[in-house]
Formats: sequence, C-alpha cells, structure tokens
Amino acid sequence: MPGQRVRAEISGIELEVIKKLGEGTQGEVYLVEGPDGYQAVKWYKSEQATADQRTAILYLVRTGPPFGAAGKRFIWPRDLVTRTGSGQFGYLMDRIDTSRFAELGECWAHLKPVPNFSALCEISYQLANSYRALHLSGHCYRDISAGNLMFDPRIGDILICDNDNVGVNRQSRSQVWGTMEYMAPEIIRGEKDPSTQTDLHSLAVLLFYLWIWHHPFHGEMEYHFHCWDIPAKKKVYGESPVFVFDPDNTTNALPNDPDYATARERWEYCPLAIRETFIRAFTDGLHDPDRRVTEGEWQTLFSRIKDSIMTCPRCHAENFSERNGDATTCWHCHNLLSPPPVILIQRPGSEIRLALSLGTTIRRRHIVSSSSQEDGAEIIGTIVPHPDIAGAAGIRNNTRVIWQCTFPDGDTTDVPPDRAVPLNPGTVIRVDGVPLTITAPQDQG
Amino acid sequence: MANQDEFLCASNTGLGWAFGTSRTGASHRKNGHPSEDAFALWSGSAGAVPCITVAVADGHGDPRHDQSRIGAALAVQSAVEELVSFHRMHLHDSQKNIIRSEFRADFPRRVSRRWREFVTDDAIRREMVVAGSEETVSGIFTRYGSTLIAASVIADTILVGQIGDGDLILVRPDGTIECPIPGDTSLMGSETRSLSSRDAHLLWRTATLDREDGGVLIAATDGVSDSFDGSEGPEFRKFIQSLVTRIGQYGVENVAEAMSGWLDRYSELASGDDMTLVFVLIRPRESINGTQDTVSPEKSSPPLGGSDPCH
Repeated sequence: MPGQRVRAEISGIELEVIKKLGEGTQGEVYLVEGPDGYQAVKWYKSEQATADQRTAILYLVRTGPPFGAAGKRFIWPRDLVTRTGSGQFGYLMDRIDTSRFAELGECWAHLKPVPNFSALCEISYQLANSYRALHLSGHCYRDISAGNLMFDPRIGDILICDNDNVGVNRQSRSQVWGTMEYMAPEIIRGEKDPSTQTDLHSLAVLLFYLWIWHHPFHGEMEYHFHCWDIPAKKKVYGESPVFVFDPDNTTNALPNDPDYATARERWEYCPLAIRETFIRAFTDGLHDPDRRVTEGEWQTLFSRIKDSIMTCPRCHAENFSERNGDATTCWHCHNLLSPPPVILIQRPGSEIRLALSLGTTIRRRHIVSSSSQEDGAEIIGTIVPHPDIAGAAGIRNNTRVIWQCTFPDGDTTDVPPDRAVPLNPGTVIRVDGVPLTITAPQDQG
Repeated sequence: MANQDEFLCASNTGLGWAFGTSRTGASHRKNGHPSEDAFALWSGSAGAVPCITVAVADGHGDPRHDQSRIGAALAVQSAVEELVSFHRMHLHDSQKNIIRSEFRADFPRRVSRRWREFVTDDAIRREMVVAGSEETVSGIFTRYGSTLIAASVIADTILVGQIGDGDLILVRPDGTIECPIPGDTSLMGSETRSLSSRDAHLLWRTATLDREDGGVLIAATDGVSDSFDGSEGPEFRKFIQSLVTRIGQYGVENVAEAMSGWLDRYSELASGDDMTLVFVLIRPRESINGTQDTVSPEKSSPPLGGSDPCH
C-alpha cells in the first residue's frame, strides 16, 4: 500500500498512502496525505471487506457522528476509500495523536502514564457522556471494549475508535458483535442481538477494567478452568456469570493468588458510591437488562466523585473527601486528612458540592445541566495559589465575563476575567446568575 | 527445549521453517556459568490448520534470580503449551478478528499463570518450598525471574507477545522491517519487566500481524542487539536485514548452521552476554514455493551490517 493512491468515493479526492500506522483485528491503518493534509485510512482485510460492511460505512459517512462535544470524540468514518483494481476498501478518518492518547494496555505495561483518580473520573465521565449521545442518536456501538478506547492519561480526554461497528439500534447487521468478555450474557446465550441495552453491559465492563484493572467475572471460576475454550468462556461470561465482588454470592470471588492483589487493592481504593454502582451493574443489571446502570447515572456519578477529590498535603496522593464532612485517612501515607473547603453551587433544582484544593476546576457542567449534545467540559474557574501569601488560594475567573462577588461582610466587587477571588468562607460568586458559595469545612453539614 | 550446543528446527510445509540456536555468553563461559537463555520451537497442525510456534526467554542474571536458568526454560515451555492450546481452541473460529482479540485478551493472563504454576511445581518438587505455604511460594517467583518472547504463525495470522527486553522483528520480502511490539522506554539501563514481576499479566505487550506475503520473523534475547547498538540502533537493523539477505542467498539451513559461530563471535567481541536467536521463514499466504539452498555461507563473514554489500 505505501506509495499507492486511493480514492475517497464521496468527495472524489485522491489520497497518497504514506505508511502503515498499525494493524488491528479487522484491518490495517495507513497514514495518507490529501488536500486536507495528513489523515488516516482503515483498510479492511479481504475477508472483512464485505458488501454489508461497505453499506454500513456509507450509511455512517452520510449520517455523521453524534452532535456536539460528545460527537467530536468519535473517530468517525468520513468517506469510503477504494483503490483501482482492488475489491477491498476502507474508510477515511482523522489521525490520532498517539503521543498524547494511550490505550489502557499501554498504561498497564507502563509504556504511558497511569491516569490518576481525577483523570480516571474524567475518562469515565466522557465515556458515559459519549455513549449517551450515541445512543440518543438512535445508534448502538456493539463492540465497546478497551481496544476501541484511547485517552489522554494526564487530563482524561478520550477518543472512541473503530466506529465502523456502529449500527442502528435493533436494526443493523454487523460482522462484529463484540469480544466475548465484553458481551452481555443474553447475547452469548443467543437470546438477543446487540442493542443500546447490551452496550450498557459492555460499558460497565469497560469502566470496571478502567478502575479495577480486572474483568468483573474473572474469579474462582475462570481461575480453575485449565482449558479456556469457548464452552468455558460461555459459562463464565454468559451462562453462569457471577460478579467477583458480589456481596451475596461469593462462589466466584477473587482467588487467593498474588495475581489478584492489584484488583483487590484498587477495589478497596474505590469510593463507596462507585463500588455500589458496580455491584448493581453486575448483579441486578446482569440478570435484568432493564435494571442496568444507564449512561446518565454513570455520568452523574463520575462527575460527583471527581468533585470530591482532594490532595493529601503530605504525600500529594489524591483522596476522596467524605460528603458528610468527616475527616478521612490518606490511602497512601495514612495521614489524617481534614475535610477541605467546598463550594456549594445552587443550580435550579439541584445543589452541587465541589471539594476545593489547588488545581480543582469548576466546569460549565457544574453551573448548568448538560444537554445531550454538550458535555459542559469548559473550564470556568480554577483554584490557584495566592501569588504572595503562602498557603492562601483563590478561584480564578477563566471565563470572558465579569463575575459579581459578595464578601461575608456584605461588600461587593466585580471579578474580571483572569482575576481571582480569595477563598474566604461565606463569599458568594454569581456566575450566569447561579450563586456559588465558598463554605468552610465545619459548615458543610 | 533446546540444548545450547545445537541448533534446532521445526517446519510445516504450508507455513514455513523455524530455526533457533542458543549460545552461552563469552563472559559466562569465562566464569564457568551456564547460559540462562532458553528457546523452544513447535510445529504441527490441529484440524488441518497448521501452526508454528516459537519462544525465547532470558533468565535474569542478578544473584537474586539464582534459578532463572530453569525459570527461562519453564517460560518457553509455558509459552509453547499455551499457544498450542490456544491454537486448538480456536480451530473453528471462522473470523480472524476473534482469534486476534482473544489472543490479546487471554494470552498474557494465561501464560503468566501457567509459568507460575510450573515454577511452583518445580520449587515444591525440588523441596525449595513446602506445598501449601503461600508466602514462601509467592517469594519463589523472583528466584526464577525471566523475560519471554512468544510468537505463533496460525494459518494467515501471526500472533506475538513479549514481556521484558529482547527483540521481535518481522522482515517482509521487500525488506520492510516491522517491529510490532513497541519498545519500553520507561526503564533504565539493564532493568527489565519480568514474568516474576507483580502484575506480570498486565505488563505484556502483544500484537497481531497479517501473514500476507510472509517474511522472516526474528526473536532474540537482548544479548544480540546489545552486541550492536541496541534494539533501535541502525547497526542492529542492518544486521537483521543482512541476516535475511543471507537466508535468501544461502538458504535457511546453511544460515542456521553458521549462526552459532556468528553469535559466539559477537559475544566475544561485544556484549559477552548469552545469545539466543530464533527465526521463522514464513511462506507467502498462498504460495508453496520451495527455498533455494545454494551456497554455504561458512566462508563468508558474519552478517555485520556496515560491511554488507546489500547496504
């Protein structure tokens, strides 16, 4: 392929193949150059280049990705690509910056940085938000897995690859119905076809991999299968799946083997709310698809958990502050952590608490409920250190509008863009009409 | 498993030929230490689907890893058994993408676990630990520490995996070099990932390749690339390319026979480390042309890249 020319069928542009970038399970990915600069082409292997796949690509090109910020995270097929004299084809897509984005396996192997809790919350939030947008557009993904996710391990931005598997919910046919470890049990048992509902199971498995670095059903059952063949996998993933941390059924608990130490540790580090949601996803949601954890629930959960992160002043490890304002112990150095100041955001109909420590960001989604098309990721405020007073901090106005600020003594002032408000309890900032009240730890209730 | 004084071969008429040799490093010979490398080759078929599997392991040299020679041997045994088992289990998978994704998902976990089982059995059999004593058994893995590179050519697919250092390279017939396993730049000096590392199953790097027009797949312990300018070095790349050229010129058997002498010379002149090199001459997907065994390369110099006429 390198050196050859291919043609984008709908736009009619010619592209020169520069070099092979990688090889996946369905095809190869090449760097190409055309009028729009460098892009990438996924070129199907001959056995994957079927008429159905071609039809599916043309449909996706014409439909386009979901709208808004979530849609920009999908590396969506932009055009069908063909080569003269070849029955094979591929599709044109944006190039991925692999120096920035990582696969989960690269983080496990220490080839790329391991995301911290804050980045992990952002990855999880964006994943749920992206699939919510896809599902609301009437499509299902059908092959959600770690292999199709790339993320920036430092800040948590994500990209979703291999979108050629996307189809119309409960209608489209596809060559790919997911890898068995991510498949919903009812698909493995042959009872259902992939749908948005089965996507929810795959999403929960992927989130579990991200947080625990382990498969939710790899416990005693998988451990004792010496022959890990198709019948064994069907049993573990489809016929008799049992969550390894199921509090009421310990038949498939983690074996007492050093291989499982990391999964056990990471589970213990997880905030209770995340553990409870995983338990629900892999107990109730396992047997009753209607009770699966929805994308919206995951989205709210990870946004709230991210808001509770505080940094240990001694070892700088990230910890999750308790909502009740109780002191906690640092998971890393066991230092007693006083509850941090929080900012109470009184949105119409709901109140949000955001733990404040240096680097904490206030995003648009804290102020207004995000629509299906927007994720509210815009940073509107950041906790920054005082330039002159050691230990003091403030909230910097990252927007382009002036904030109105009322101090505890009743004085008011304007806070222009790029200026900061001191972090004094009782201070109220109004952003787009929404009051943000800085609250001391003892006043949190 | 191979005796280090001979080269071994395995073949499958549909897929190609695999050759391997392992040499005790010059510094080890000088000090009377045995080689801590190991390799294994396997060929066969199941359900009329052919398969060639190779594995190369490098036991750690530090005194903390005093059983690493056995650890390396058990590593290549684990890899071959796991890959052969994987091959048999996926005979009826019509979709190649399923084979590839399941290899990536399952092989690291299964092979790491199999190695630990073998090590535990060996340690108990040799009364180094008491059966059932968990703490002692978990501590024994460090003593057997080893790297491992494994590859399997199954029908139209090449599956490769690696934990720790060493090199795995595919040279296509047009001379294009593919390094499917990304290098690990996070380690300093002689540090390496190991089967005995905590979370070994997460430290694997795997890849899948299309057999296409075939080529020469080379797996080697780090003693080989360290004799040049390291895994990424241009001299090592030239060596690899010239090795492939010589296979084309002189035939696989002649190159395999000469390989031991070449490796001994590199070890004496450069790294001094043990050296193990396995290569698989993979036939094109649809062609069954034979090789042209012609001139013996024994009178020629080792394929050191800089002086090779093909460069």
